Amino acid sequence: MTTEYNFKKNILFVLYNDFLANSAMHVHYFANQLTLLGYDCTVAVPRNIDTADLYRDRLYAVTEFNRIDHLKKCFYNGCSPDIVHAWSSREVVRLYCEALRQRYDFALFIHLEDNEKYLLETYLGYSSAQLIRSQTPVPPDFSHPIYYHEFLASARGITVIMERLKEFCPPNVPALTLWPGVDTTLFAPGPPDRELMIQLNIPLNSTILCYTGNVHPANQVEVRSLYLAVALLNRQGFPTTLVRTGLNYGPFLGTDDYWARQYSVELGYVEHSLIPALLNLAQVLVQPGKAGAFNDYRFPSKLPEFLAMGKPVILPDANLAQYLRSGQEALILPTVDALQIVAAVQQICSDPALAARLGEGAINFARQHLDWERNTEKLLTFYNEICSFPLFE
Amino acid sequence: MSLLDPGSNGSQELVTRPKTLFESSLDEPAPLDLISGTVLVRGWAFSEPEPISWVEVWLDKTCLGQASYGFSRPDVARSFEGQLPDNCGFRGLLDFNPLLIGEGAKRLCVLIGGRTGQQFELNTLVQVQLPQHGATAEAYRQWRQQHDPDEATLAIQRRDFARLKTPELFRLELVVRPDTELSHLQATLGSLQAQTYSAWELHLIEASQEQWADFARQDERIWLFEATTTTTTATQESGAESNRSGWLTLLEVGAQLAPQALFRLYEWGEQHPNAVAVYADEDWLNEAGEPVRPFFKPDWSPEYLRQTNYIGPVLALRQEQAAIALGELELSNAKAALEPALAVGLRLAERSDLEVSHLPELLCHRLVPVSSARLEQQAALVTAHLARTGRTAVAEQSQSRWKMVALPRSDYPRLSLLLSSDQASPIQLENYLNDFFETVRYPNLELLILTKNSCAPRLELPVPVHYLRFGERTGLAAMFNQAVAYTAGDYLLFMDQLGPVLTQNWPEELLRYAEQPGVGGVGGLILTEHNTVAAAGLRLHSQEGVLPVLRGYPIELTGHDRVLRAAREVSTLNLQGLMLKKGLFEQLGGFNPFFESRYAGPDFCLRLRQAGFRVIFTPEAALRQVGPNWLDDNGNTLEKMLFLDIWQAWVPLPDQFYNPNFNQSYSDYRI
Repeated sequence: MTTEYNFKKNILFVLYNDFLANSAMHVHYFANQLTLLGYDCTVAVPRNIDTADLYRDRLYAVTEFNRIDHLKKCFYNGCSPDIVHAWSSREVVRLYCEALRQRYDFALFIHLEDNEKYLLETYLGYSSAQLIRSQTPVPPDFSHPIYYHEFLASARGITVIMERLKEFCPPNVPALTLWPGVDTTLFAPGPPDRELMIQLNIPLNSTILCYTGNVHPANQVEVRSLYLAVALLNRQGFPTTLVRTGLNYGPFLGTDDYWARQYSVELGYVEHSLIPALLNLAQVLVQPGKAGAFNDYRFPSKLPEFLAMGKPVILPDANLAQYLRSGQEALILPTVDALQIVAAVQQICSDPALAARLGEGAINFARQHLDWERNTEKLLTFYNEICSFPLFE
Repeated sequence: MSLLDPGSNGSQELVTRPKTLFESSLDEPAPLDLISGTVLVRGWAFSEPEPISWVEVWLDKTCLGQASYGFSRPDVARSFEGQLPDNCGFRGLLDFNPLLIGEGAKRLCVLIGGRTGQQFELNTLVQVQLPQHGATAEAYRQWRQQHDPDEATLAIQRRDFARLKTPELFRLELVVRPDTELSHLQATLGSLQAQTYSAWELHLIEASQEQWADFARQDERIWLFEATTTTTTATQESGAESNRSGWLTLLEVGAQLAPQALFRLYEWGEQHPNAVAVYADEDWLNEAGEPVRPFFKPDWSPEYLRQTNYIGPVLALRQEQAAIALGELELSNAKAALEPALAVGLRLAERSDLEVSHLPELLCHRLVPVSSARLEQQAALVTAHLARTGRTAVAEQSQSRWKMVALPRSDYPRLSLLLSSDQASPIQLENYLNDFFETVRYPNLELLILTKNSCAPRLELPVPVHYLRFGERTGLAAMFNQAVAYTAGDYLLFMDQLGPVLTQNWPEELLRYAEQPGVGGVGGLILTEHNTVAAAGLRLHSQEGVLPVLRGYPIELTGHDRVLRAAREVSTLNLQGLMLKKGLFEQLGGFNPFFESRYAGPDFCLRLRQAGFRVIFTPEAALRQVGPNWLDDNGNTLEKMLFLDIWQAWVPLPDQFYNPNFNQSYSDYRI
């Protein structure tokens, strides 16, 4: 395959955060795949370049934003990037790309993975119109209500993680829906590790749910639903434990969270390679939430991993759910709140045939649609279609 | 044991007894904190060898009650490197009557003890202040500085208005009375001429006298008419009639519009295309012309309007829709009343299908106090409205207000009182019911006693009594749901504790509202043993789920614009004392059985509202709370979280009936 492309074109990915961010995983796999296909890739992060060490199989170079004047050194040919793929339109990324533009010529691509307007308004508590009117400074981790549009309009192409994000794309800029993948060598079904259960102090008769993700203001209500469901299941005499990884950006379970913590195992940040063992403990995997301005536009980064584990997955009728068959590949509910989770978990646990069917459907979906190699080819074709200079010879 | 004085700086100090390990801290209140009506006491304590079994809170010489002990405090356990247990926290939100305690610095003492009588104290000084509502002049001045639009904003509005291709016309109608003072009219006109939205016409009604003619000569947007009902011929020439899609705005004499008022009404109307009418917040001008006493209003509350004329002094109606909805003649007649805004408002209140929208911004200043003649007219309008809607009540003028007076009932529908008594001993239950029926004489009532006890007392009561026994693990909601199947009443009345009834006509007062069409649930006032409010309805709160309105407020006071004296719509209610139609309860499938505690009540009321029914609070039906407020019970945390989860789309929004301009951290209507 690589023979049809010209090697040695330089591609720079620009991340909005360091390698601890969920998006870093997507960039990592795309960059690795592109490298394998003969492209010279570098990933730029605003800070904490050391976090790249989390990805031991990394095949690309890394740099920090403040090393902008030394960027050429990151590429084997000592040249500037041919393509810059900005991973989000957030201010920190936009400003870095503007600085790059002052120095180099390149084709700009922007990747969208969130409803940036919703995030900005939710975090700051003001409408975009109010923010524009009051000229409130926009924090670097968010997209600017005005510059955001200008930035997107200046791109040669836009990749979106969910189809609905195309609503934000300027009509004259080509857009591609680009799904992530899942590493099925790492995320694969396996028997639950009894020793690990004992080590984590999980009662052996407990049904286990596992949630691997950070909690932040935009999703804290839905993750709270999961804790609540676990507490309610236990109150009903249905022993259940929530195994939780990820960081919490603030308390979200009330001042006294004992009601929730007594049934959860809190592991904090866990290295990605260790997540599959935890997911394999679970009988059911739940993505809580509901359709809306937040969920409709995003692709929960844990979903590919959930599906690849061959476990029954419960998820709301939003984002990826529109591509899955409910009852076959996942259990799709209009709203995945506490009471719905309670009912769905009990239904799945009492119906082994349903659990098996959902698990098998999930893994097939992951194999078919969430393949890094295939999705990277899509990205490469998109680059090729758009760039007028002879990127691919 | 030696007790240490809190010291001149008011800081708390630890008191220890030799040979006993006692570690503690009082986190809240902080020294010299301001408190009024309730005080949150929070901290941690640990004692060895005798464990702590109770925590009592005193304010000066008054015992406020007990705080709960045993809360999880992982932070304390961590800082003591695991030498102290995790569950060493105490917490209590305690009520007191600030009128009885008095203002000023008081000693707050937390008394901590074990079973054998060993006691320790934590002391601090707090500042008791009398209840506040609304705002002091200074606080309101500061509020206005933050909220009034600046010149730049007004300039943007003028620019945006100039860009409108077809601005909607505001036709403002103002009835001029024989006693109208020229200066008041001039003030209104001045405020209109300063509007950032210039597409308006002012119609001065009954202003044929020559003395008003100068106004019309000054500004071509001002028109004079003899009377509202005879405007047809005269208004042929005015632009308003040719643009029937505009706004008809009823103004009171002396009302001064804020410069942004019409622009904001226009914008709000654009955002609420289905609203037939829009009203906004107001304040009063003092003699120096300075705005004071803000009146931040609830969203559309027909029940409140029957008791308080809150819809004026500016009421904007979509002219065409209002005429269609109310009928040309009725609208015309209502406008012709001496109190046109109230008259139209009451007509709107008779139509549950019409959307009346509240713009929670201060857009108008009132200059003229309501005269006795106007009050009489207002009372007459309300009485006529009550008659039209078939209510057995009249409005009577009372001092500076009118008051609803219920007429004697002729019928007494069957009422089923469901009383959960699982916390009470048989003797307590017997005593309670004897007292209850000394007070309550409703003639058509059946009593269902829900108990988890094995034996029930044999009672001789003036009403049919039925016992229902439940298993220990049955939750409150499930118990009530099952019990309703055994009721014969048309109306259900729930009581989850033996709260003494303080109002003789308690069932009748609740029934007055429960039997109205469109009303889902009704609840009354709940008082603490200190004669302060435990709850005057509940409001939604983003973190707590619900908060009791006016908690800690002395009953002697009336509250912001007499909210403590007026029935009104509320977001939700307590389970205790909740009355509703049995058919409605069954239609909605009863209480959510997942609720094992009293959150079943607030949850059900929200479901009623979701189904389009109104939920009413009335202060005329009062109960006494027994023990601590149920919302403070730590055992409810899971239920609170469940409530928040179910209503996650509702609770983050401002409560409809608690104006967002109030300080949302409190529930006593302070800004």
